[in-house]
Amino acid sequence: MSKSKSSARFRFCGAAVLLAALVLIVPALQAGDQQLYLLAGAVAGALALSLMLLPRLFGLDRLLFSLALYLCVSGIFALLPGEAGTAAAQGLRCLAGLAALLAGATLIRVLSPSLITALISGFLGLLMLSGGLIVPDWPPALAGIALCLLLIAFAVLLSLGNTIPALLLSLAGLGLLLFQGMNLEAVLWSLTFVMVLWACEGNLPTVLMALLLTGLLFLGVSVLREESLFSSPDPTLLPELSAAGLWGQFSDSQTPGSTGSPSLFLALTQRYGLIFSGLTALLSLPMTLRSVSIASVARSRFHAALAMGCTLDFALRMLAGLLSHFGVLPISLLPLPLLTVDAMELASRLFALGLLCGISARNEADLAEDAHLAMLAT
Amino acid sequence: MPPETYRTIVLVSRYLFAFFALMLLLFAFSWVRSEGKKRRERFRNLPGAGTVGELLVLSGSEELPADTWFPVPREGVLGSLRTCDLVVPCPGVEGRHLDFSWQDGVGLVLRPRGRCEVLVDGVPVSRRSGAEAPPLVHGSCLQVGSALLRLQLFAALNHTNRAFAPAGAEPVFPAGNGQQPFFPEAGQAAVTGDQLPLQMPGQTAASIPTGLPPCPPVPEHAPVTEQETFPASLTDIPINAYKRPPSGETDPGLENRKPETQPDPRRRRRTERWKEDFSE
Repeated sequence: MSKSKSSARFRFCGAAVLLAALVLIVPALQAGDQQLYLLAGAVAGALALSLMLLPRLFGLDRLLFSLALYLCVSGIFALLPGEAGTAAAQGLRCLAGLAALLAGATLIRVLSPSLITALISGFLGLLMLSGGLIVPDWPPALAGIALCLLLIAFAVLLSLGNTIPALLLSLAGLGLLLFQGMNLEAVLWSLTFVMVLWACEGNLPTVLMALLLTGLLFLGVSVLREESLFSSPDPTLLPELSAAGLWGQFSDSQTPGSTGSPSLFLALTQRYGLIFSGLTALLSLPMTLRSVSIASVARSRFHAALAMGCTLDFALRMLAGLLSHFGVLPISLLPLPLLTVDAMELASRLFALGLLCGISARNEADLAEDAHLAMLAT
Repeated sequence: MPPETYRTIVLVSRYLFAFFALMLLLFAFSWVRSEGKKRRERFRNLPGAGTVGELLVLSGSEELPADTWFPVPREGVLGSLRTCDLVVPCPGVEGRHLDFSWQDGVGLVLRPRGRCEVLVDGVPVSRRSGAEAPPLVHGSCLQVGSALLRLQLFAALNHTNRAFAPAGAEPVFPAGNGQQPFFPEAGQAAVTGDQLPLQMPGQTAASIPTGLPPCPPVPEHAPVTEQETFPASLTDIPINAYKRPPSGETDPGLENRKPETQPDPRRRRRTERWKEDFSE
C-alpha cells in the first residue's frame, strides 16, 4: 500500500469520525442527556469500526463504502437534537441498510450471468412490483429492491445478447410502476434502462424503439388513468430552505416531524445550513465517479451493465432529489438516496451500492489473476 | 452548561462543521484521484490486463495493414464499427460481425451474428449452418471478410491442442473426424491422421516451446485490396492455402525473422497500435 493511498483514506475516515463525534456531542452538551452522550459514542465508534474492519472482512470497495456509510450517518445528524430515541432508530435503520449492502456484495459474487439467474431475478422483481396491484397494504418501498432485481435480470439478458427479452422485461416493470402510480420511479427506471441499453447495444434503431415504446407506455397509462403523470412542486420548500440560511438555525425543536416532510436533507439544512447540507450532498459526486470507474473496468458485460445501471440509478435519484427540494422539477418531494427515514428505501439503495462494491472486488480479483498470469509468463 | 457557553459553542461549531464538511469533500476527491492514479499505474505495469492474447493481421486492407496486431479482451464483439471491441475495418466485415468470449479450458468461443460467416482454420461457420464454431486456440487462423487473423495467446494460458512444429514440418489433417490439423513434434515420426492432437497437461511456462508454427505464407495475390474482389463465399478459399512449404525448404519468413533482441521492423510497435484511428 502506497503512502499516498493510505493517507488519503486515513484523512477521509479520520475526518468523518471526528465530525460525527463533534456533531453528536454538541447537542449532548446542551441537553446534558446521558442517552445523547451514549449515542455520540456509539455512532462514532461504530463508524470507526465499520470503516476499518468491514471493507477488509468482506472485500468491499473502501471508497464507496466509506462515502455511503458517512451519508447514512449524516441522516442521524439531521434528527438531533430531538429525542435520542428517534436518532437511535435512524441508527438502527442504517445498520439494517448495512446488512443489505453486505447482502448485495455477497450476492454479486455468487451470481453468474445465466438464463436461470435472469429468470429467477426477473420473476421475483416483477412479482414484488405487482404486489401493489394485488395486496392493498403492500409497502411501496419494496419497489426499490424489485428494481434492483429487474436490473440484474436486464443486465444478464443484455450480456447474453437477448436484447428484445431484456427490453420487454424492463417495459413490463415500467408498466407495473405506472399502473401503481409510482410515476417518478417509472421515469428514473426508464432513463436507467434506456441508457444502459444504449451503452451495451449501441444500436440506434434498438434504442429508438425502446424510447418509442417507453413514450407510448407513459402516454397510454396517462390516458387510461385520466390524470397527469406529474404534480406541481411543493411551494413551501424553497422558502423553508431559504429561511434556514447558509449556516442553519440550531434551533432546539428541529425534527423532521416538525417540518411535515420525511426529508432528512431538509432537516439537515434547517439545522446546519445550506453550506453543510450542500457539501454533504455533493459527496455523491465522488461516489458517482468511483462507480463509473468500477463499471468501466469490469471485465464481463454483465458486471459492466449492472454497475452502470446501479450508478445511473443512484446519480439520477440524487439529482432528481436535489432538484425536487429546490422546486425545479414538477414532482413531489423526493428524498435523497441515502438520506431517508424509510428503512426499506435505505436498504434498497444500500443493496444497489453493495452490488457495486462486489463488482469492484471482482475487478480487483481479476487484476490479481492477470498479475499472476503475467508472473507465470515471465 | 451555561447558556452563554453553549451559545459560543454553537456559534463556533456552525462554522467548524461547515469547514469539516468542506474538508471531507476535498479528501473524498483526493481519494478518488489517488485511486485513479493507482489504477492507471497498475494497468501500465500490466499492459495485457484483461486480455487473453493478441490477434495478428496476416492480411487485411488499407485501413488494417498486415502485421498489425491488437489485444484480444476476454469478451466482446468483433466488427467494422469503431464501437466494437475488436475493430476490423475490412471489406466483408459487418458492423457487428461476431461475439466472442474466452472460456477457460476451451479457448476463444465465437458466435457469428445473423448472416455473418467466418472461417476458423478453414472451417466455415455461420449461425445459419447450425454448426458450433470450433474455439480459437493458440495459432488458430480466423478469416473474417477479407481479413486473415491469427490468434496468439499469452504463454501462461496453456489452452492449445497443437504441438509446436520444427521447421519443415507439414501439418497433418486428420481425416473425417473433424479434428484440427496439428504439427508433429520435433524428432517424432510422421503420425497418421488417427492420432489425437498432442496435449500438454501440466506443462509449465518454461517447457512451452517458444517457437510458433509459422502460419502458412499468404498466397502471392494477397492482401486483398478494395479493388479486388474477395471470394463470393468464404468456402472458395482452398484449405491448402494454410499448408506449409514441403520439408527441406525453409520458410522465407523464418530466414527473415530477426533475433529476439531486435524488434521485427515489419511489426508495428505497441505504442503505434494504441494511436491507431479507424475514423471514417
